Amino acid sequence: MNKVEAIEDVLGVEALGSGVGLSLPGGATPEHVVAPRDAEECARLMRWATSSGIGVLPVGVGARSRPFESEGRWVALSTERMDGIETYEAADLTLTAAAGTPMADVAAAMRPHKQWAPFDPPRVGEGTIGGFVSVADSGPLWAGYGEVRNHVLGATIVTGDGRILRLGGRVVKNVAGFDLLKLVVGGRGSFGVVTSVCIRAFPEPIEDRVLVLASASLPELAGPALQVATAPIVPVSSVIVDRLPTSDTPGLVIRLHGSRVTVDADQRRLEAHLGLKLATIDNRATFAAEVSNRGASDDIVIRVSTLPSLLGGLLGVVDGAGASSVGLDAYGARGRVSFSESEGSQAARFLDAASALGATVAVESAPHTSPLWARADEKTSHEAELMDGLRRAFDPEGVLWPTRS
Amino acid sequence: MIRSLSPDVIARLRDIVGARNVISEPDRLVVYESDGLTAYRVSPLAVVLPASTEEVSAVVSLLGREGVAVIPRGAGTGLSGGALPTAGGVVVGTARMNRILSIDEADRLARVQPGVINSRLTTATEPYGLYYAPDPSSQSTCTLGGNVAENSGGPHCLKYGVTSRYVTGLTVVMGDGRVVELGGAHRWAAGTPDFLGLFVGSEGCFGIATEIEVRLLPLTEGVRTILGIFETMEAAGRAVTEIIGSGLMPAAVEIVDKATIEAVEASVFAAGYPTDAGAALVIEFDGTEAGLDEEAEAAARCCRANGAREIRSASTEEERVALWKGRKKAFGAMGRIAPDLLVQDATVPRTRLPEVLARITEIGEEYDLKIANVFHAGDGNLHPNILFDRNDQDEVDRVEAASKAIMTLCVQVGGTITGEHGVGVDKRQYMTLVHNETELDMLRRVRRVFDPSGLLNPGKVVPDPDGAVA
Repeated sequence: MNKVEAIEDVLGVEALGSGVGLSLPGGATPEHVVAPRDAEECARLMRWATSSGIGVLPVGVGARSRPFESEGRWVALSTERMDGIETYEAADLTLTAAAGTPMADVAAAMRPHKQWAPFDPPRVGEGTIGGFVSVADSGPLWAGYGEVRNHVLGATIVTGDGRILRLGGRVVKNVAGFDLLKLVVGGRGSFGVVTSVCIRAFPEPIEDRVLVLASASLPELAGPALQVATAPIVPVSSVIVDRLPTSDTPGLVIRLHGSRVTVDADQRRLEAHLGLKLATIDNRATFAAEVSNRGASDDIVIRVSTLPSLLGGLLGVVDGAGASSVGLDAYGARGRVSFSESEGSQAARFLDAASALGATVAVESAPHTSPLWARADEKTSHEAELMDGLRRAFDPEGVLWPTRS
Repeated sequence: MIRSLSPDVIARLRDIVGARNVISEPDRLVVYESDGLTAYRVSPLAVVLPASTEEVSAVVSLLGREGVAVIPRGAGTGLSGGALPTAGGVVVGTARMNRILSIDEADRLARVQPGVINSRLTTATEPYGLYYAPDPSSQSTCTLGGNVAENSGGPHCLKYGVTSRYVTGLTVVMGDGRVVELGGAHRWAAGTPDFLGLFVGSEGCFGIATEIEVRLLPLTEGVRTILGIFETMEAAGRAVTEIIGSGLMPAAVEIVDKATIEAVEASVFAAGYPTDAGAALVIEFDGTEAGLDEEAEAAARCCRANGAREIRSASTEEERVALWKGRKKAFGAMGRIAPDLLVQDATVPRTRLPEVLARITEIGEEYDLKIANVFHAGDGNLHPNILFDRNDQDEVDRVEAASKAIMTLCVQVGGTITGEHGVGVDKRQYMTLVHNETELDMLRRVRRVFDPSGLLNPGKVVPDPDGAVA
C-alpha cells in the first residue's frame, strides 16, 4: 500500500488533498495535505504516521510563517475541515469551536450577544481559532484584559503518538492537575495538534475610546509612554507607532473601555497625569486595527521586549534602525519592528543593538533563506532542556515538526 | 521508605542552614504533621528552614542524593493537603525566606522570596500607589510561594484573575538541586512555550520557587459594595447570572447561604444579616470613582429583579467592612456549631449554580450532614463546607461519601473538582472524574520531566498508575 492508499485507508479519500496550492514559507511543498475532520481522525492519522515513520507538519490553514525544510517523508496536516462553533454559552461567557474555525466566525457569533474576544494581535481576524491559540499573541489589549493564556479555558489536542487529551474545561477557575493547557497555548503545535478550543468571551465595552498623542519623533514618545505605564488608571491598551493612520507622524495611541461616565473620568485623570490634552479619534475601529498591525507588515518582522522603564533606550535604537513599520505596546514595552529590505542587514544591526541594551529579540518573519532565522527564538539552556523533555513526553517518536530541533 | 535520617545527614543539613533551622525533635515536628486539611496527619523525619536559593539548592541536592522525599511548605494554610508530609520525607519550609527583594515602581514589578505573606506585599507597595491583586481568603497568613504552588484565587479574582496572571518570573530549585530561571517580565519576545504558566499550580511537584517576580496594579480610586438579601439560594444564583450576563464587571460576587448566616449571626462575628434569609449576596465594584454608583445600582436592579427582598449599600469603609463581615468570618463562625469542617472546593459553569446548589442541599439531607455554602459565585467557584465530628467514624464516612457525590455532580454539569485549593492528597481520588488514564499518564510524564527522581512532593496530585491514592 502506498502512502496515498494508506492515508485514504486511515481517514477516507475526502481527507486527502494535494500539496499544490499550499504555499509554505521555505518553499516546502508537501506531497500530501491531510485534513482530518475531528480529534478521532487526527489521532488515527498520528498513530499511522508514528508507525510508518512519517513526519506530520501541522499547518492550520496554511498561514504559518516559519520556514520548513525536511529531507524525510512528511505530510502537512490541515485543520480546514475542523470548522464550526461547537457550543456557545453566552450566559456563561464561554465559546467552544473546532480548531479550523475562522476567528471572523467567532467574532460574528459573539456580536449579536454584545460579546467579544478582546485580543488584537496583528491580523487576528484573518486566522483560525486554532492558529490563534497555538501562537497566543494577545496584542496590546492584554493590558486591560490579560493574556490569551488566561482566557483559553480548555482545548482538545492530539499528541504526536495519537493520544487525545482534553485539557482544562469550560470554567474560569480550574486547578485539577498540572496545567498542561499552558503548554498548548502558545506552543505553536510543538506538543500536539489542537483540534478544539474553549475560550472566554467578554461583554463588549459600552464605550470604546481611542485617544492619540502625535509626536515629531519616536524617542520623544518615551516620556509620555512611561507616564501612561505608571498612570493611576490602566488603559486597555497603549501603543507607540511610527506612523499614525491619520498622519505620517509617530504617535502614542491609547484605548479606554468602560461606561461613558467612567471613560470620561479616566480620560480626565490620564490627561491630568500627562499634563496635556489627547486627541479623540472618531473612526476608532479602523484606526485601532491599523495600529494593531503596525510593526508586522513587511518582509522581516522582529519581536522585541524590554521593561517600560527601558523603553526610552529602545526607542532610540528603533529610531535609527531604518525600520519600515513599528508597533510597540507601551504598557508592556513589547512589540514588533519591521524592515522592508530583503537582505536583512538593517534588521541584523537592530537585533544586535537591541540585544546590547538588554532587550529580548527574536525573528518572527523573514525570507526563508535569511540567516536571521538563526535568531528565531531565545531559549536559555534550561528552557531548551525542558523543551526537549516535554516534546518527548508529548511526541515520543518526534513525528510532529519532523525537523524542528 | 526511609525511617530516619542518619546523624551524618542531619549534621550536613545543619551545616547548610544552621543548627537551629533543622528540626528533628518529635515534639517540635507535631505542628508540621498537617496543613490546613487537618484530617490527614503524617510526621516528617525533619523540617529544614533554608534562608536563600543557595541553601534550598544545597538541601534539595543533599536529600536527593540520599533518596529522601522533599515536601515544600509555605505557611501550611493549604486546604487540600498539598504540604502534608510523606512518610519518610523531609519538609523544606520557606518561613525564613520572607524578604521583599525589590519593588520596581516604574515597571510595576516586585521580586520577593516565597515566604512573604500575601497581604504584606500589598502593605509594602501601597506607599507607591500599587498593590498585589490575588487575595485568597487566607491572605493575612498564606505565603506567595504557596500561592504560586496552588495558583491561588480569591474573592477579587473574578475581575482581576488568579495568581498565574500576575507571576512574571520565577527562580526555581529543581528536584536535582539545579537553579533555573523561568519567564521574566522582559522576555515576551523570546517566543518560548509558557513553562512559567505550567509551573504555577504544580503544587510543589516540579520544584521549589525561591524567588518570585510579580506584576503589581495601581490602587483603585473607589469601591462600592452592596449586600442583597434573598429568600432562596436559587434566586441569588439567578441574580449572579444576570449581573455577569448584563456586561457588568464586579470585582467580587460572593454568596453565603442560610446555614452560614445562622452560624455567623450566632457567633461573636455577628454581621447583622437577617437569620430568616435564604442567602446573602455580597457584590463589590472598584475602579474609577465616577461610574461606580451607576454600576452598583445596575447590580441592585438585577438583584431586585430576581427577588431580593432587601439591598444594603456601604457608603463608608466601616459599612463596607460590616457588609463583608458575614462572608469573611464565616469559617471562624462554623467552629461554633461543629468541631470539624471540611472546606470543599469545586467549580461549575455559572449558569448551573441554582440547580447545583439545590442538589447540594439534597445531598446534605441524603447523608444527614449539615452543609454550609460560602463561595465565589461570580466565577462559579463553590465552597460547600461540611460540618462534622472527626471522632464519629460513621459521620466521617458519610462526609467522604457526600464529598464524592458533590464532586461527581459538579463534573456532570461541566465543572471541575477544584477551582483554587488544588488537588493535594484530598482530591487525588477524584482526578479520575475529570481525567482519563491517558491524561493522567501525561501528567505523570510531564512531572518526570521536571523531577525524574520523583522525590518532590510524592503522593500528591496524580493518582498512581495502579489507582492508589493514599
